[in-house]
Amino acid sequence: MSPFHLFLEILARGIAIGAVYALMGLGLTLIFGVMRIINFAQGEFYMVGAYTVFALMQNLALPFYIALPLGMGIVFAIGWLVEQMLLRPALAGRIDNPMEYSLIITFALSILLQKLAILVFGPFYQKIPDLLPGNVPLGPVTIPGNLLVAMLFSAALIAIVTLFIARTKTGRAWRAIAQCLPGASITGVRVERQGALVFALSTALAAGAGAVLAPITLIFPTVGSAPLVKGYEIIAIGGLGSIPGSLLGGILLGIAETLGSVYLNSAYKDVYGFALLMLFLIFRPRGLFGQVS
Amino acid sequence: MRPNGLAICGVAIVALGVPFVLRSPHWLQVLSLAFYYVVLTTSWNLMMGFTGLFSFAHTALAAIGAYTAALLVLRAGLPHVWAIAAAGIVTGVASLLLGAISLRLRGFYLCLVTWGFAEITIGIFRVEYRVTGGTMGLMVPSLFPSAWGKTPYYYLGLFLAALVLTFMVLLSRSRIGLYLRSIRDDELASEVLGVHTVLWKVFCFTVCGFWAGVGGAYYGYVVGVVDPNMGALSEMGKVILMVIIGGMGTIPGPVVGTFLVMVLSEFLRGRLAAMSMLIFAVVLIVVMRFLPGGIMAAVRPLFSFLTREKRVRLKPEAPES
Repeated sequence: MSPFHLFLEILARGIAIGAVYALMGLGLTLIFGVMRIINFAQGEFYMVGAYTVFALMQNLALPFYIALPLGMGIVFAIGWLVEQMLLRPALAGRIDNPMEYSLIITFALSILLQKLAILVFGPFYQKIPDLLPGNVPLGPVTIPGNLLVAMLFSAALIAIVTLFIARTKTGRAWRAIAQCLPGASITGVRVERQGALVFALSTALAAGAGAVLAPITLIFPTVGSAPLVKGYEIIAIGGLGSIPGSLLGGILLGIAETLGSVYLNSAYKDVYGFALLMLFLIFRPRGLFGQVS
Repeated sequence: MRPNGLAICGVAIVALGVPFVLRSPHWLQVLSLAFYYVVLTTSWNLMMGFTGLFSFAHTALAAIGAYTAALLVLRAGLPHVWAIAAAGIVTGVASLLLGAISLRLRGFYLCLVTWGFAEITIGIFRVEYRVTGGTMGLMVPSLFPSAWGKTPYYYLGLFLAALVLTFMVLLSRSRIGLYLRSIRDDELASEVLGVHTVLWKVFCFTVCGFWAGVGGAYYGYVVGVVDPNMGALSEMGKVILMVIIGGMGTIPGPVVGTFLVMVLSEFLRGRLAAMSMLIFAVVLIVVMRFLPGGIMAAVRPLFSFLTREKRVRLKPEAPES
C-alpha cells in the first residue's frame, strides 16, 4: 500500500468518526446555545442510549433498527425528566449562577448514571451484533461497515436537526432564544418549555450516537467519557454555540486524531485533543465560527 | 465570637486526643487521608467559593506536588522537609502559569481549560514512565520509621490542615479576602473600584496551587505510592462533593464536608462499597437542588441562635420614641 493510499484510508476513517463526533458536538451546542448551561452528563446519556438499545435487543429481541429509535425515545423522555427536575431552576433564573449550578449538578448526575450502569449491567463489556460486517469498498478506499453505518446515521440525523432548526417554527424559536432570551420571551416564545425540548433532543442525539457506535466501541459504564471529551473539544474548536462550527470541528477532530495516532506518538493520543482545546480557548476563545460576545 | 473560640478549642482538643483513644491504624490512615482532602477542599474553596474561579485542575496540581516530592527524595536525595516545601513551590509556579494563561477566561471556559490542563498533566505522568513509573506510579520512601505506626502521619496532617485553615481565616479577614470576594461577585465592578483583579486572580491561583502541592506531597507519604490516578477527574469529583455538601464559600464548610464524606464512606465500605459514590452523587444533587449553601447553611440558624445575645448587644441603643 502506497503512503498516499494509506493517507486516504486514514482520512476516510477520520471523516467517518468525525461525523459521529459532530453529532455529539451538535447536542452540546444546542444545549449551550439555547439554554446557556453546560451539560457535563452528555457522555452518560450517550452511555445510557447504548445500554438501552442493548437491553431492548437482548430482552425483547428487537432488531437494531427498531431498538434504535425506541431507545432514543426513551432517552428523550429521561432527558425531559432530568431537565424538569434538576435544571429548571437554572433556566428560570432562580439560581444566582446558572452556569456553575448546571456544571456541578450535571457532573453529579454523570457520576450517578455511571454507578447506576454498574449496578444494573455490571462493569463488563457488552456487545451488540455488527450492523454491517466486514469492510465496504468505497471508491479508492475501504471502510469498516459498522463505521460506515455510524457515519451515514450521524449525517442523516445532523441533516434532519439542522433542517428542523432552519425551517420549523420551533427551530426559529430556538434561534430566537439563542440570540436574545428576553426578546424571545417578550415575543411569546415559551422559553422554559423550549429549553426542556432542546435538552431532551440533545440527550436523544447523544443516545443515538452511543447506540450506533456500540458495535465498534462496545458498551461499558464509562464508555461516555471519551465522547464527552470529544464533544467539548469540538465546540471549543468550532466556537461555543455555533452549529456549523460544531460540525466542522467534529470532522477536523476526527481527521486530526486518526492522522495524529498514525504519524505522531500514539501514547499521547488523548493529550493532543486537550492541547488543541486549550490552545483554542486561550488564543481564540470564540473558535472558528463563534460570534464575538 | 466566644462560641466560635470555644468550638475551635473543643475541636483542637478532640483532634489532638484522637490517636490516644483510637488505636486502629486503619482509622488513623482514614483520618490522615481526610486531612489531605481538607487541604485540597479548603484551597479549592478559596478558588471557587471565595474568588469564583471554577477549576478542575486541583487534584492534578496535587499530583504534581506528590510527584515533585517523590522524585526529589528518590532521585536527588533531598531531605523530606525540603521536598515537601519544594513540592509546594513547584506546584505553586505551575498553578501560576495556568492562572496566567487563563486570566481572561471565566466560568465554563475556565473549567474547560483547567480540565485540559489536568488531563495533559496526568497524560504526561502516564506516558513518561521512565521518570514517573507510568500507571504503576512511584513508591515513596517512608517519612517516619515504620515502628512509629500511623500516628506521626496523623499529627503531620493535622498540622498541615491547621496551617491551611489559619491561612484561610487570616486571608478572609484581610483586605485581600475582600478583593477576592469582590472578584467573585462582580469582576468588572471590583476592577472599576480599583481592585487589581489580574494580580489577585493570579495570586489566588498561586497560593491554591501551593497548598495543593503541599497536600499532594503529604498524600504521597501517607499512602506510600503516588500514581496518576490521584489527579483524575473522579478525585476532583470527590473534592467538589465535599465542598458542596459542607458549604461552599465558608471556612468550616469544606472541613465538615470532608470528614462527613470520609467517615461515611468508611462505614459504607462493607456492604455498599461500590455504591458509596452513587449515594454521594444523589446527596450532591439533592444538596445542589434544595440546599444550595450545604450543611453550613442548614446549621447557620443554630449558630445565630447561639450568638444572638451578642448581636443584640452590638446594636446601638435605639432611643425610646
